[in-house]
Amino acid sequence: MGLHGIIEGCMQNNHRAYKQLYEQFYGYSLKVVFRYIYRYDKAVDVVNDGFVKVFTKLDKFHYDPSQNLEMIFMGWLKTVMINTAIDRLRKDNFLPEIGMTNEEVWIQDRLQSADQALLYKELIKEIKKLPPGYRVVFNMYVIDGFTHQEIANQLKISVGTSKSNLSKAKALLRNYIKTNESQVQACNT
Amino acid sequence: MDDLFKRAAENYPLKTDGADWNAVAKKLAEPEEDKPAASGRYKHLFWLLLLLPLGGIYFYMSGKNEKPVNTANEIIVKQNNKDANAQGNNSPENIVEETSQQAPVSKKITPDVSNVKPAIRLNNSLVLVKPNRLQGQGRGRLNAIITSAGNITVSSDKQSEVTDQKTELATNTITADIAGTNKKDIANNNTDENTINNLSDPKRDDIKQDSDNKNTVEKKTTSLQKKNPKQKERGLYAGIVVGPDISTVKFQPVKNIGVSMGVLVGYQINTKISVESGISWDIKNYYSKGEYFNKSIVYPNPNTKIKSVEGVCNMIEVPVMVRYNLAGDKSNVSISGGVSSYIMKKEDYDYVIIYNNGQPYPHSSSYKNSSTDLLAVANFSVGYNRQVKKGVALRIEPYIKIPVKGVGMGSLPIMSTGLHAGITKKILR
Repeated sequence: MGLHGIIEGCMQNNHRAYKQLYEQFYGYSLKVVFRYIYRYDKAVDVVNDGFVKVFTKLDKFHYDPSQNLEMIFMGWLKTVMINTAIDRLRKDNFLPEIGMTNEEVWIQDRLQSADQALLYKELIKEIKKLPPGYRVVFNMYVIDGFTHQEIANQLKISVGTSKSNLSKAKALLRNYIKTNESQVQACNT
Repeated sequence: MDDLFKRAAENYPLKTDGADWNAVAKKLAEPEEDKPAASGRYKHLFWLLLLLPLGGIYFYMSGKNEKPVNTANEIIVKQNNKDANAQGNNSPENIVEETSQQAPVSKKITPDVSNVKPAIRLNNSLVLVKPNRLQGQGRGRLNAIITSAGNITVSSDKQSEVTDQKTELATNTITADIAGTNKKDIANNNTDENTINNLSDPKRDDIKQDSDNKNTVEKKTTSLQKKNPKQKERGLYAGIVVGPDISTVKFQPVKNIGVSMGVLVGYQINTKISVESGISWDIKNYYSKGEYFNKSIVYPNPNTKIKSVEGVCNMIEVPVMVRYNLAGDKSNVSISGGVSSYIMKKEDYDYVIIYNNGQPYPHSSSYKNSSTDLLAVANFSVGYNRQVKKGVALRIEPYIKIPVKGVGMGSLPIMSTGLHAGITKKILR
């Protein structure tokens, strides 16, 4: 069944279609949420909450059949997941978490070089080390493409605060890149 | 640097094979947790509906414990002829008996008995006369006649008054002019000679006691009558009201019913007009298209559009009303008009937002103590009021609240209608 059929089935509250949609986009959603949520198990929980929202609010998803349905749906899904992750962080008052990320959550990706995989893993780990407020702003602006105004509205902060948090987040990450410059350059080539 | 992080976000090696559909299915089967107000608001309504009859019972019991007020002292006239005959006791104190019982009596009278009087018996009636008349000190009429039916006729020296009372006399009642020269006539009417003899020398102390008692009765009656005329009741009253609330923005679809509950306090200026105020806790549900929602505070970005919004708002309402009572005594109809101010305590919104790419996205936000909107709505209502006991009234009052300006974070013009049911009690007169 194509994505169109799955989405239509979901709109008709078909639980088989729900399951198919969940299994198809679980990995993508987890990779989005794990950038925002520090702990892996919490990220899994947020993803599951996000899918519940997707299933209950799927009637608000509108698409033009002539457009790339998968791309549009993934954009919509990403926003739902980000909103759910921010709601969870807000519920925890944006308090930073301590401890290290369990190494078991990483895999050996055979589709890319080990160096590249290692670099990407380390960069994401550095993002996760940022204070939650900086982390969210960095993820939303740099990676997910939100404007400062949209970030300010979402986080109930001012645009100036959003810009300031981004600047501080970049400063912290730049330090890491400087430290590991050779590795970064090797992956960029 | 930004591109590097973007690539990292797409390609970082994360373990993603732990999809647990059962966990999601379980969450889907659970009731929604993100809208606690749904059960909370009906919890409020449940407790208020439970408290309302308790409040009514309290009002009823507090009224029941008040001493009943006699609207008039009643004087019961008993014909003791048979008893008197049986007991051989014809003293005046058996003639009239007064009581302050509330039970209805056969007759209510307020005779002028200040000059009572020995009595003589004529047939089956006792006739009270002025002692000096018996003694032949002058002419005059009988001062009081008690018929066998128990009626007292009080006469003066004027013939006309006696004539007016004639219809009340039983057939075996005789009026007589007992001026000293008429003693013989009385005797010819088979009066008890002994009675006459006894009464010719009346027990003045008994008579005086009787007259004192009757004076007291008369004073009480008068004072009570003064206390309980048909008064125009002014004073302070208070009450509680509760009822459903239906809110809409520009007559758009209603998604859910809210509730309104509170206390009111009022001052009755006269029988027609009173002024009321109070505090109520309102929970309003409404839906609106984004075009009516002022997003300048919540989403000032001009590129962000709100497609629709569903709101659940908890607010404190402070109304100021003038009430006009239409005709009626125990039950009446009233019309009210006034204004209300809203103090927004919590606003929960579910938005559908359209970002730059044109896709709609759901988003929820919650705002606490967000705004105070003074004189936000104009109130109108028509009420039916029914007095259930003195000072306590039930009221049923449909209302409509028309927005004067927008309220809340989105400055939405919310119109509300509903029904208030309540109970009020006078607390100060």
